[in-house]
Amino acid sequence: MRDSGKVPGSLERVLATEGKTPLKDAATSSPRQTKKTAPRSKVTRNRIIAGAVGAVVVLGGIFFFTRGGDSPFSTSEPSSGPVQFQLKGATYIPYQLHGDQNAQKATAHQAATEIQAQLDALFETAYVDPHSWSDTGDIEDFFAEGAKGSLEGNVGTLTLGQNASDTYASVKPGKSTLKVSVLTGADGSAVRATGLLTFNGLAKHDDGTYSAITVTGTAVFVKDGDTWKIEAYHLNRSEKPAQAPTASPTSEAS
Amino acid sequence: MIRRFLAIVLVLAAWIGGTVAGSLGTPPAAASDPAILIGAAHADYTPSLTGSKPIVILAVGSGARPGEDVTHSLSDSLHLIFLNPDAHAAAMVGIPRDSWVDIPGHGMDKINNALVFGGPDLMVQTIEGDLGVHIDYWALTTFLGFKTMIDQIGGLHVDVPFRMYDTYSGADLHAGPQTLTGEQALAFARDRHSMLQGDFTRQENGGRLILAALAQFQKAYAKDPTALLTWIGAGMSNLGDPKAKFIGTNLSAEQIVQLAYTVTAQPVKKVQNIVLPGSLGTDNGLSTVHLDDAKMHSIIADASDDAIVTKKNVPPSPGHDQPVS
Repeated sequence: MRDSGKVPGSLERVLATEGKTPLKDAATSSPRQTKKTAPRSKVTRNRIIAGAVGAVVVLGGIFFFTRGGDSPFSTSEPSSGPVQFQLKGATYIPYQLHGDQNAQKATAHQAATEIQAQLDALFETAYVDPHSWSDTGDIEDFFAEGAKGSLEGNVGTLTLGQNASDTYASVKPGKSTLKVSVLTGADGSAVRATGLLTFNGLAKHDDGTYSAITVTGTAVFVKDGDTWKIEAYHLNRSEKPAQAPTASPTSEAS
Repeated sequence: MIRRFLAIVLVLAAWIGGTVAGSLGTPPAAASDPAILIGAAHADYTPSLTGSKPIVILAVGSGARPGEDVTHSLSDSLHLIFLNPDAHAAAMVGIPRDSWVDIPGHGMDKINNALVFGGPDLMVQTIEGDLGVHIDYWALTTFLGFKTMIDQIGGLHVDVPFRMYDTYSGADLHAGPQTLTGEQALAFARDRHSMLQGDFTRQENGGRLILAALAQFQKAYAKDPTALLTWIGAGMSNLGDPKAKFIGTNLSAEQIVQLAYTVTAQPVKKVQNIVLPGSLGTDNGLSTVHLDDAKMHSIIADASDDAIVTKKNVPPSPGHDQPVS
């Protein structure tokens, strides 16, 4: 269902890194090509010229790789990386008095980890992976049976959108957070869990513009075998104009 | 020649450098004006029970104080709740606690003694036999459980219908919307001495608290569905004490979750708050209530059918003649 292959954004980043090495070598190797037998003033003059040319080449290289726009090697385009929700808390809510607190605590932490992984995969499928970002069929497995019928009517929030490929070029996931609460019995059994989430993504549109997408809200999870599935949800999506990302290659990896 | 060459190189370098600096500092002009934007969207889904046959729950407020046997104490508050998921309709029927009824195996007595004689099971059996209703589930809470429950959800927002001052229950409330603490809500539910219709109005006030809780739960759930967990946690953990081998309901946690989901879609205005009508009397030297059998059976038959009591069978509100101030 999900395509784990490299997407164009990732490829661009690799190419950009590879391309910088020869430029660095060229700039430093030029002086070594000067003949030892040449007169001193001529050698000095040649060194100045070579240095200036080298500076132009280096600056040109920086310009080429950082100017943004449609360059296939640009590092400024959003690249699809894995969605990683940061877990901001895992708490249990007991529905019986005098329960085993350690067991309930352990249940809350385990549920939180499992729900975190589910949401990572859900938003990767629904918002980041261009092969599935408009198809509720691809996210059905994340939902409990009763909720599946509701997906089609909520496609604009649960996924990037029905006609997303007509508008969007890519979505780069940003900082996303999650707080998990688990309703537990005295023995640590889990009845339900909720995930209070915020997903952020930077979308690049086909026309070269950008927008910041934020999805916030809560999903209620029920255990289904070994996995947690969404049984109920209350989510809001907002989208507003955003600036193009900056050129720093290091920020790309965050 | 060399100087001219160097000058050209420097100009080129300055141009490239300036362009680079410019591209780092400001975004392309188009970035602030995307072609298509979604302003906001919303997705919402909550499951619900289905079926038009009403689910009937008996809610019992036990008068047990800390240390007393919860299941064998006098019940102060009795409500039958009929819920029709398909029609999004519900009816609450309050039963005066002094109702003079036949308690199986114990003869005629006040209905609140059924809990003393045989716990929740005998209470259910008594009400089913006397009122002609089938009860699916029961839930029982105590004074302390009730107070704690209300405090855990941050108090209960109630529109107090009239001035209440009663030294027995500790009620000292002015009319109007306000947030009650657990202590105040308990006093609101228990006050009968300052009511013209005594126990009848008290049962109606019990219904008012349930309606207030329903409205507040829906609001909290709409804001953040985590309320489903916090409210169930607060409610269930105060219904019983597993260590004392007492669970105050025969509903499972799963069933309570399903019911809670279902009531999120139950319009508060479509919940009827009715008290069985009757007259005050004296039996065996006790102050009692004689229920109006004909009206009682009409109300129960109506509610059992579809959780809607038709207008002609709805009795006047017991508190309708209570002075507001």
